[in-house]
Amino acid sequence: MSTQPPMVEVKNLWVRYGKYEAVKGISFSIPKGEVFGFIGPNGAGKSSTIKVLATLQREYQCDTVKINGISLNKAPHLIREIIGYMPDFFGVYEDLTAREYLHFFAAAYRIDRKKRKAIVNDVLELTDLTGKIDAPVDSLSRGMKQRLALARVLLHDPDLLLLDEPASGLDPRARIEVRELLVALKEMGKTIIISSHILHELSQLCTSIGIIEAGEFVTQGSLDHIYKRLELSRVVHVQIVGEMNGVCENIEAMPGVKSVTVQADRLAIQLQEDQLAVEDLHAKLAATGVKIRMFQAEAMDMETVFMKLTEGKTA
Amino acid sequence: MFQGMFALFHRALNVDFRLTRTHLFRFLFAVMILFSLMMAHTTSRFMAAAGLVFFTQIIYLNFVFIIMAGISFFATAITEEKEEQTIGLLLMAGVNPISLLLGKSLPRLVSALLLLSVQFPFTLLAITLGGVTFSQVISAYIALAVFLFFLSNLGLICSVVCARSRSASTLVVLSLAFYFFGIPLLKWILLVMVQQGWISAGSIINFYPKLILDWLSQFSVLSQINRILISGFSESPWNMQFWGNLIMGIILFFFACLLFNRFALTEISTSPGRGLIAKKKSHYFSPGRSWSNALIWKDYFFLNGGYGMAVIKLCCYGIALMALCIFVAYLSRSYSREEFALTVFWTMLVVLIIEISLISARVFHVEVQWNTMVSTAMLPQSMSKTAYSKVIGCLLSLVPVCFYLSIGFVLCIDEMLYDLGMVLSEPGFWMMFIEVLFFWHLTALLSTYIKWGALPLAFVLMWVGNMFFFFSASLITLGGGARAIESLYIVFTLAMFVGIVVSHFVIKERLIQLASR
Repeated sequence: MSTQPPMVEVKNLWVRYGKYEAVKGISFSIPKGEVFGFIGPNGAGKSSTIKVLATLQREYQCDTVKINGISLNKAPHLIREIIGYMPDFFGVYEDLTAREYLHFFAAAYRIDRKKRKAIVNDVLELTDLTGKIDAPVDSLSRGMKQRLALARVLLHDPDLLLLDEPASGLDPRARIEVRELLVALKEMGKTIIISSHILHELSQLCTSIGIIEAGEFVTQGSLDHIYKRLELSRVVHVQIVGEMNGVCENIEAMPGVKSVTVQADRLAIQLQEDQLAVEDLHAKLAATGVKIRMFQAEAMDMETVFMKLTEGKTA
Repeated sequence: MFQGMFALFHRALNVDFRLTRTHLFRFLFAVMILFSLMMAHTTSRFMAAAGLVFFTQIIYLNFVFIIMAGISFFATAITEEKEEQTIGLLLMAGVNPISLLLGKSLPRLVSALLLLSVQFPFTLLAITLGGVTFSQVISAYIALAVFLFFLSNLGLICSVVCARSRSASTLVVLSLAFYFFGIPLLKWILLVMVQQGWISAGSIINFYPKLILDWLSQFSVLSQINRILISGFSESPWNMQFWGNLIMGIILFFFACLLFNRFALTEISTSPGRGLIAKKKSHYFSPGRSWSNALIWKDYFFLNGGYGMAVIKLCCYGIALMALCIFVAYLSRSYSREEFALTVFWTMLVVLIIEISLISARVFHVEVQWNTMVSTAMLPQSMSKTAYSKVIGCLLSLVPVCFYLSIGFVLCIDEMLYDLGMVLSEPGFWMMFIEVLFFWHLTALLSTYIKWGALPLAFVLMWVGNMFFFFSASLITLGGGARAIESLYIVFTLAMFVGIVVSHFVIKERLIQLASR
């Protein structure tokens, strides 16, 4: 049994703004190396929770809030050394160049002067901003500023990243770039807490999610666990070469297949995974003798989960 | 056509009504009137024409408030829309430029005029206290109202022409300086030229400019108020100052409309800009690599201009001091080293106070303005250290002024030490010293709460506080002698010192709160 403390441990957290209760006694625990997706409608309490973890929220009540075993209210300065926080809305020093901006924060994080240049170059390369090193920050596009902020967050090599809506307001290309960057960070073993409205992207990135509504967790756990609990089906797209006579009926007759829809160039097969695994469907299809040109299981439909679990309430 | 104007007008008045600070401001004003009334009532026992004292105080109080409103309230009418980048949206919504200008400036003018009008009945009490006639009251309020109209349009045109609130406020200050001091200065120059025999008194070069300047000087509200406050004033309120200010106000509004499309629709950079700071590392004015205390480095270079600005200040202050010394030498006909040193020292002391005042208004405000507090708050250090580092970074920009200040001090060190020995034992000196420190702290604190105008607001608060203190002190120590006044000074100094210490904690808490937003 592992003796390592979880990276994040929250028990019975309450955040109140006057009479308004933004977070109502939520508890969760995130092991090291996990990517935890924080999902919820606007005003659900996501940003308040993340702000507590980022040591920026002064007024809150809890039984425990620990990061890497360190209690949050006992040593916030120690916590800040192991976390990197990127808020949903932030400003950057626009009169500085990207190089000056990162060197400024590297010095502020007390990174050794000799190592600063290499670290700045590394984070610029990771965020694909090397070509913009001497560009003034105000000349960068919003996506680039977002990546620059992420580069700033990575300077001191934090173990935990708190990213509040990192892709908000970005165009599709910039969103994909940020997602790829987060995948790279996940592979580097960072623990990431990410809140986002772009559910499809979270489903490709997160190892577990927590859905929060009106300040309370509606559900939390791994995606598979949640899908199974909600008895949601997975959609598999299949392109078959040649005549389709009787193929749909054969597939529909297979145990575990809920429905088959004929689309323009493919079949969309709804599957109940607890009865028929995706790979078993492939084997069964092949066994019927059809020629398969394309076989692609769709990522789990998190939007359905979200809509099924939430009611659009705010705290 | 004016639908947009009414919408903006309605919204501005609604917002104004909902804001607590508007009512607090009015309350403060009412307290000050009440206080002046109390003063007049008290002084009426041993002084004739107490009504005139009361009336004078109220009129000058209004005058200061109008000036402050011009610098902060009116000068930001359009620039705040530019900074929020909402001018385009308003125009897209079908609001034409004239409606926009009227919709933005009129509510502010109405709010200020309301403040003037509500005090009118109270001011009439001055007549019953004696020393003031009804015609004086009417004339004074008309003079102030029309000056307010002129100032609101001056603020509007500055707001149209300038990209930022700060530059618009600066332009209003410069314009007002010319309005109040320009004409007297030109008249004085003309007089000196005649006295020196450079031009003859009866020549055209003297006659016509003098005639024009005399005519223009009648436009000054300050001269008009001074005339009104003289006992026995019975002139018509519809005089040159009234018509001059009214026509100038209309002309300024007309120009604001003309220039609107040229300036207001120009895309402004949201960046504060680098100024003289070079990007190339090899350049003399390059900020180079970050210092070990990065916040000091950043604030010194990017908030205060760094080495480039230091060099400019050294040159400009040097030239200005040299010109001033030559001027003083010319006037006094004899000039000693002590006189030169004292000129340098006192001039630079004033510049130092002004520079620190400007720094205190900016040091934290820029972080709030650019939403960067959250990044700074995440650094692994306390907010106090962050705040002090920022202050040190800004104070480094005072090196040029301190350089000349120390030259002035060293050149007359004996006299300075003697004077210091004299004043250090005076409670009044310490009160003044602590008061200036308190003013800077108050400005810094206010700048974290309000979008613009922290410096003028702090100035007004200090002025009101002082007025209140000195009057209270004179009442408390009535018949108590110098020792009683000194004791009161000491108590007041200690209270302000405690206020300074408390302000450090309040600013820290405020910055933490801002970072969490």
